[in-house]
Order: sequence, then C-alpha cells, then structure tokens
Amino acid sequence: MIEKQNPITILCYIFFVIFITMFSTNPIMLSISFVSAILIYLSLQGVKKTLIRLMYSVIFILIITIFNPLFSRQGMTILFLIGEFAITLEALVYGIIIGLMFSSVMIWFGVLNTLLDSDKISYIFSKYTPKIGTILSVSLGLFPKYISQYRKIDNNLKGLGLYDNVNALSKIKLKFHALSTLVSWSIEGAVTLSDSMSARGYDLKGKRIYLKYSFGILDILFLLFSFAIGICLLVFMGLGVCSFYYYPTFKVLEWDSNIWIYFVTFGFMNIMFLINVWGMIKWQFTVSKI
Amino acid sequence: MVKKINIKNLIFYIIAFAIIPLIIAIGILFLPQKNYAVISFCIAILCNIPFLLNFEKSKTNTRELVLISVMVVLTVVSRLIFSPIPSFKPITAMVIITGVAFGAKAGYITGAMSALLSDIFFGQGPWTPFQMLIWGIIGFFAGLLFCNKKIRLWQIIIYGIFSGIVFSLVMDIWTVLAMDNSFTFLRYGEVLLASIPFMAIYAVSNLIFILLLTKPFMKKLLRIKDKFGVFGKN
Repeated sequence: MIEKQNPITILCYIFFVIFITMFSTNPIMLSISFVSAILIYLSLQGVKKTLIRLMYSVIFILIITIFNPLFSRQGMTILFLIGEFAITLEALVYGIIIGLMFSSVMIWFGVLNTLLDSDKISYIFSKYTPKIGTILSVSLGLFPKYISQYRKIDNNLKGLGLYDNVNALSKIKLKFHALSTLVSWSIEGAVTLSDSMSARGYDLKGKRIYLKYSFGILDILFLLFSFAIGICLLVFMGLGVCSFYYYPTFKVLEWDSNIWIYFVTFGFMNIMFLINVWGMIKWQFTVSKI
Repeated sequence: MVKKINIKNLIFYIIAFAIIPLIIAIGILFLPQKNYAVISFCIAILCNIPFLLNFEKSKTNTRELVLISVMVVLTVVSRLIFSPIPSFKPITAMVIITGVAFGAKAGYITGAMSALLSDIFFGQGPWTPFQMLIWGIIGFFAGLLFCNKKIRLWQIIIYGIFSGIVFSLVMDIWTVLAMDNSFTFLRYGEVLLASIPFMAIYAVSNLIFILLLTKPFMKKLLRIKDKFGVFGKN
C-alpha cells in the first residue's frame, strides 16, 4: 500500500523520522523509534530478514557498549577500574543509547531502501535534475548488461585455459585484462547508444521527461501531515521538552505534562505501518477466494 | 550594462553563506547535546547540491551524458569484480582516471553517481552523502589538476595515494560520529591510529590500480574524446 505513494512523500517522511531519531538522546524516544522501525520493517520484509537485522543491531549495540566506556572518561558512578581507567555506569549506558540510536537509524535506512527502489530514486532525480536522472537511469539499465558481458569475457579467458595453474597474482592480472576489454567494448557501444538516443529526439528542445509517479490527494495530505508534525516535534525537542543527559550523571525521567510528546512521536512513527497493515487487511478481504 | 542574475551562482551563494551557517547555528544554539552526526549529515547533502546543479545547467550533449553513465557503470562493475578482496577497491582510481580524461565536471558526476549507484546495490545509509561528496571531489580535483595537460604518471600516482589517505581521514570522522555522536580530537586520534592499516591498504590499492589502469584506459578514453569530439572545453 505504502509503496504506491509518491517517492518524494516517502523520502520526506522517513527523513523526518531519521532526524527526530538522531536529534534525541532520550531513551524513551529512541526505544519508540527502534520499535517502530522494527514494526515497519517486519511488515515490509517478513520475519526472517527482520530477525537478521535485529541480530546485526544487537551486535552493533554490544560493540559500542563495550568500546564507549573504554574511551570515555566521564561519569560519576564508577563500576570498576582497569589499570588507570575507571569504567563508569554512565558511559556504559550512553554506549547502549548511542548504539540503539544508530541501529534504529540503520533500520530506517533499510526501510528507505525497500520502499525506494532504483526506479523511484531515478524518478526523484529526473524530476528536479533531468540530466542526472538520465545518467542514473541509463546506468541502471546498462549495469546488468555489463555484468553479463564481463562474465562472458571472463568465461572466454577461462575457456582459453589462461586460469589454469597460475598463482593469485596472475589471476588478478587477468581480471584487470578482462576489465580493460570491457572498457573498450562498452565505450564504442556508448556512442552508438547516444546516437540512437539523438535519433529518437533526445536532443530536441521542448522534450519532456516521462514521470512514472504523480502527486495524488493522498500524497499531498501525507506530505502536509509529515511536515506539520515533524517540524513541530523537532521544534519542541529543540526547546528541550524531552531533553536528557547522561554526564555527569543521569537526569531523572519525570512523568510531567510533557509526556504527550512520546505519544505524538509514537503515532507519527507508526503511521506508515498502520497504512501498510490497512492495505494488507484490505487485500485479504478483496482477494478472490475461488 | 545590467548583469543577469545567474540562478546557478545564486543557489550556490545561498547554500554556502546562508543555509549551512544557519544549520550550524541551529545545531549549536538549540540542541542541548550538540548533535554532530545529524548536522554533518545535512551539510553533506547540501554540499552536493551546487555541484549537481552546476552540472545540470552546463551544456552537455547526449554523447557526453551517455559516456559519463558508462563510466559510472564501469566504476561500479569494477568494484564488484574486486569485491572478494576486502577494502581493495578500484573506485577511487576509476574516478581519478575519468576526471583526468574527461574533465572536472565529469569527474565529479562519475564519483558521486557511482557512490549512489553502488549504494543502491550494497545498501544506502547515512554514509551515502559523505561518499558522494568525497569521491565527487576527488574526481573534480583530478580533472582540475590534470585534464588537457601532458599526462605524467607519477603525478597521478601521488594524487591517488593522497586521495586514498584523505578518503580514509574523512570516513574516520564519520566513524567517530557513529561511535559517540560527538567529536573530540582525542577520540579522532585514537580511531586514526586504529585505522592506519586500512589507510595503507587504500593508498596501496590506489597506487596499484592507477599504475596498471591509467595507461590502457587513458589511451581508450582519449581516443574516444578525439574521435567524437566530446568533452571539448571544460
């Protein structure tokens, strides 16, 4: 469902989410972001890939948690000493928090990767910078061709028996040879390609670019929604509504009148997930069961 | 004589003198814990924009566009070919060779677009704008320094080693930011010490690739340049 939205809408929304995540060091905000990222990733990619992502996140958090206290010399609560250095509780917790923040940013980028495939990225570029969009879409089109041509060249070298009984250095040299062959093959082809583009009128003035996606009413609403809520949240966070600090020691989390920001953030970060789930439910009910 | 305001220059000046300082000011004044990561991410995106717009407004014909995209694809393919050997990547060398042969603008676009394209296949992340910027600028300066001049291999090799070191230095800033979301020179020094082997591999691999690739590739690219009259005056 969400995949059908305009790429610019998706990009703006996810950038806002990532900025909110990166601006905050509040543990509750970061947990909200992490959980939302996992949920949307789960709905897009399925259980297996999500588990792999989660495993990487846990490893990343562990590494940062181990390394941060070793380098950081701040904090008040000393846990134990290694030689001259004191390992503090604050540094340990700060490591976990930073690990959580960067792994949720990474999962959000994973979501962005799934939602914005190469088609949509070249759409974004060709809408605002047509020449770069052309470069990107031509490159994307040529890439599989070049890979298969490289395999052909490499297989020919193998067929000639050049790879038999040679050491590693000669193998690398043969790879250079294949790459060089690919270059000479491709550059002549490029000129032919550009000439056929010109023959079909690419050079003419007044040409327009085919844009696959258009702005619908839903896109405009979603864009307005994400700008309004996103900027509000960023401003309030800038004013220190949910600020949090770790050094010299932790700030006490208070349940005062400012807790609304957590609910708003939770809602904001899960809107895409809800749209996606709604699409899935709709699909389940409308699919033909014959 | 009234000069027409050049939109390209205007955008460049607005970004350079208004938006970037504004973001830094917002970051310092309004964020209680200075968020270096998010600010540097924004600035890396913004720094790419003037280059891209500059290319967009300049006169390029279809042949040049397609040749640049071919160089982008070749760069990504070459990264795939040598991907079994860790951090032994020919991207920098390919970008430098493109810059030397086709000029500064083509060098920038090849560097930036190969970063973007290879990240489509290997996974986007917060590092994408940084990579686009660094590889783009490496290609840009290669074009400025060596294009349309008599090619001396040793100069290009020195430039390659230098750019490998610079690439490592800049990406280590990113490592420091990822590790504790703030930047201190002490921490940066520690990370630099830890990454000296990688820096050495970058520099050595750039040296090897430039040494082996420059002569055959330059011959082919310059021949195309002469034969079809592309990338004439940069």
